[in-house]
Amino acid sequence: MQYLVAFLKRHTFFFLFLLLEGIALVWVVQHHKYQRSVVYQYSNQLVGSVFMVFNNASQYFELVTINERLQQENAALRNKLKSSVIIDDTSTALTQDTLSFTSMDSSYMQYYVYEPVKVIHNSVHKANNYIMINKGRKHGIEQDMGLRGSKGILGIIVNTSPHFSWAMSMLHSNVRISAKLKKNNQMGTVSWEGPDFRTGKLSDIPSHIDVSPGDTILTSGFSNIFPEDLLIGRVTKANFNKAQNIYDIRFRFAEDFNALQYGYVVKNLYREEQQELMEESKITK
Amino acid sequence: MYLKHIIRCLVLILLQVLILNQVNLNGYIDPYLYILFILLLPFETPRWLLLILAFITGSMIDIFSNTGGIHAAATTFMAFARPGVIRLISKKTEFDTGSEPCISDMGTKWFYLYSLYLVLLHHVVLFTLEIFRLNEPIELIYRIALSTLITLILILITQYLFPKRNKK
Repeated sequence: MQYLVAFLKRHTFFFLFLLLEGIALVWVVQHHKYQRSVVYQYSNQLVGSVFMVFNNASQYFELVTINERLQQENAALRNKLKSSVIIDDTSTALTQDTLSFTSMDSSYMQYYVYEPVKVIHNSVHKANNYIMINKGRKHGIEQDMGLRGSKGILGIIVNTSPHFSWAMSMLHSNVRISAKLKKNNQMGTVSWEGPDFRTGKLSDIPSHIDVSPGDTILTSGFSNIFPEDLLIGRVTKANFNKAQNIYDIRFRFAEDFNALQYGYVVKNLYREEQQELMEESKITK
Repeated sequence: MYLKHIIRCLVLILLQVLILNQVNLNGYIDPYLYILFILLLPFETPRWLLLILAFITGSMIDIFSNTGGIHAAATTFMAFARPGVIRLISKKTEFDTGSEPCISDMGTKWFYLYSLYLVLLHHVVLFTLEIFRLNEPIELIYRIALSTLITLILILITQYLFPKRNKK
């Protein structure tokens, strides 16, 4: 025992190093495995407040661009208003707009709702990128909700505190989003391999499908996170690999991830019900 | 005496998370200036304190950048290597009390070598952990080399901008 104590004393430096390095490595592994850890639950609040102060200051310098973008988005939304749609026959009129549905047909159910949020922290050049937004559990934001910007989808909420949330950006090596090609509804999977923050990868497209640059990629709506038909990006390169009989498709994200300011958290009002159903089906299978 | 180091630590962390982390050069280069705090701790700092300070600094960066432990691991490793590196590149084994490993006390060549070794070690651990796979060694080496260069340049600029004032 004496020897052990003496031995430990002589090599304090080395053992302390092993201990601290061990803690750090466990942290790394935990982080990569679960995305969230107890530490963040408490640190989010502090970190969020610091970024908030800095963000409030930097916001002033970008007011012009933000205004322009908001105007464009407002215009797009107004185009969808009831007053902007000509209805010939109320009984058969079907537009995609939820407002006109609710006013005409009481049996229509609201499926997704949007919560406007502000991006207060974001990165694009890491191997795994995250986005922090200024709303959290108190605003009804929960894990696994979607996050979209004014042009395309941004990511998925992975961790929330009362006033802030972290979202896994589309620029994250673990992101898999169910997507489809607009022209023929073929389903595929969108992911990101880095390092370029403008380019993503579309996989799982069958070999007999014709894909060409310029094709639009939309969300499929099968993941229960995002509604159907949200813009993801446009194909820039589609190489067919004959040896492996698969497509290598790259696309340009619709959203400029380096200039995120505002976004919307997408809440699926029936997610719980859908999850329950899925669980039940698994048990009986 | 201690106040100087505490202020330096806070300023470097804030500089890192608020400004340098937002800098995106070429998509490959991430300068990590905050490790200057560990580089500049005085020679007589106990080695265990070195490790603990490095771990805390790295953890702060991790918490703010949501990188989960990789900075803590890299910075702790760097602090572990520091005494060895100093022994490796110094001719004498005893240093004057109050002297610090900086350009004005140790000379240009010594400091260049000292910071090159330690920054390189830090970046190797950091980027290996960040990418977390070794199937793209060329990209990894490219990122380590470029980022080391930029971090070094930033460290040297800081050294010339804020030279140590000797109270004599």
